[in-house]
Amino acid sequence: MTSIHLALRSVSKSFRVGARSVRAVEGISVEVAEGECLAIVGESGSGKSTLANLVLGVYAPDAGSIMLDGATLPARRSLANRRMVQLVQQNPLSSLNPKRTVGASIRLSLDVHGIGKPSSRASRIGWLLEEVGLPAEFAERSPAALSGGQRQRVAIARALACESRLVVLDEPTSSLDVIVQARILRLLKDLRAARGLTYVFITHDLAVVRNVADRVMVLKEGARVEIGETARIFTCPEHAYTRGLIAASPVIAQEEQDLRDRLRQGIG
Amino acid sequence: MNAPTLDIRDLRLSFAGYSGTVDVLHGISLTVRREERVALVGESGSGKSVTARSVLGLMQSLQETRISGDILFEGTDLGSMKESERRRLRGTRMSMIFQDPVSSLNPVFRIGVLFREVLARSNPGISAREARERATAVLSEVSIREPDRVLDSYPFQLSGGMNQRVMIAMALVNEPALLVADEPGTALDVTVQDQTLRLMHRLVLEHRTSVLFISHNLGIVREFTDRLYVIYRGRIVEEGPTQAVFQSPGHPYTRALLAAVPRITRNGIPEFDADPALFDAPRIVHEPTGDRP
Repeated sequence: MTSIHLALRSVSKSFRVGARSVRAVEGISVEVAEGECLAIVGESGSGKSTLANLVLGVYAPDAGSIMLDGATLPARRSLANRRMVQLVQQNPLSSLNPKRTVGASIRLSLDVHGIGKPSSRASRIGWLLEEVGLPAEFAERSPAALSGGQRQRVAIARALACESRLVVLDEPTSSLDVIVQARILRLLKDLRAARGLTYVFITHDLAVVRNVADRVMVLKEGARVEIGETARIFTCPEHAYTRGLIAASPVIAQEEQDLRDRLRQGIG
Repeated sequence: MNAPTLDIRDLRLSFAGYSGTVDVLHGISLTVRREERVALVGESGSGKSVTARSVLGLMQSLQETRISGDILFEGTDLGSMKESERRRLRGTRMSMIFQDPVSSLNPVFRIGVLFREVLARSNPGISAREARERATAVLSEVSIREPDRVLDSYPFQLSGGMNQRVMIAMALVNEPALLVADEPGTALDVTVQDQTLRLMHRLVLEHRTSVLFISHNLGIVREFTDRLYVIYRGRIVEEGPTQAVFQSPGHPYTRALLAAVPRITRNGIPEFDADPALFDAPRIVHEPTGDRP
């Protein structure tokens, strides 16, 4: 039996907008198993990114709790807590410091968490870069000297640096061209298998979700619309909102068109 | 009067910088016939947006660009026109829709004022009342139910989808012969994008507008265009009717592109061990083809 890696119990979060209070996430409960890839989908404003930030500890929930490996995380996370969850963002150009070399960006993570002996950190950075398919010499380069795909590989290497087993991927391939996207998705898949990683994969691209996720959670206006096995969500979505999302996805093949037509009929 | 709406012949473009010139387009030839919807498909950096901007005459006046080849719009070479003549074409006979509607509408003016400016390009003497009536009529064509509220709003007071529809209405209000759509809807949510593109498609059919559709999204291209050109590193590598190219892509690059697109019916994540040098192979020509050697 696989154990529960991450659990959210009735998590809510509101924000003040002027005089009003806006509920960004409303009573979300979900369990993610060890080694699972859970996709969180929804339109902009559905609460995907707020949920990611709650898991990362950027915000503390107003209500409910977040548990990692069976232990409830405190509202203010310790360094050890933070080491357990890492993030890969959409735009590697803005998530990597342009004034640091790639190696220095990764090294910061090793230094902060005190991983390995200081003398061994340079070689550790080299291994990390090689693990994500880049030559170790890239450590000397600045992010500006890399392509979009290479930068995203660096961002992934940095997320792996402190050996956390849970990675939040927030639209990790949305700013990339399709061929580069396929390469990055392949890398993420291989790393998950090799390191036994758990992914929380946030995206609005349902075709990507279909190919990477074990389960899908659909959000609308901060609330959970439905959750289920990826194959089931795509073949017989229970909720009209989910059907609408899938039916609006651009498609290139006849079998996809057939699926979309079938779902559109369901919407009526 | 049987000249195609747009005929680009051997367009070459380079940027001169401090460290020498960078060649961006290496001889692009493409044709958009009357009432035809043609896609130019490619990844970032392939030169598709530069091509679109050259068609609008926006690259010609830049000091750092070196441009050669012909761009014929309804049979007339843009290169032989004065800048003022090219400017007169924009917004009247040819118009453009951009990726991000919010940043392409001037935030300090209300939509009604922007609309009147667009209408005044083809009819300088248009009165405020006349302009408002035309704008109201064309907004209802893009399914905007409260045209008065929209005309009295600033762009940032409207949603992204609403702004995109306003852009479409503005682009079509002067009945252009050619609409250049550069990644329309990419900044929108998938459901809003779908609605917006369907609306745009219906309107260009009704108004018999020719469209040059710039996109990296193959799903959108498949649904909304008749013919496509695939551009890779400043060269056209493949051309043909959209359905035919999707069914049997000829060029290694087109095949790689199509294989890379994730599908909602699950196609797995392809391996790309193939030598990217193959992508630079000479172009494939599909039958029937509309351009010259």
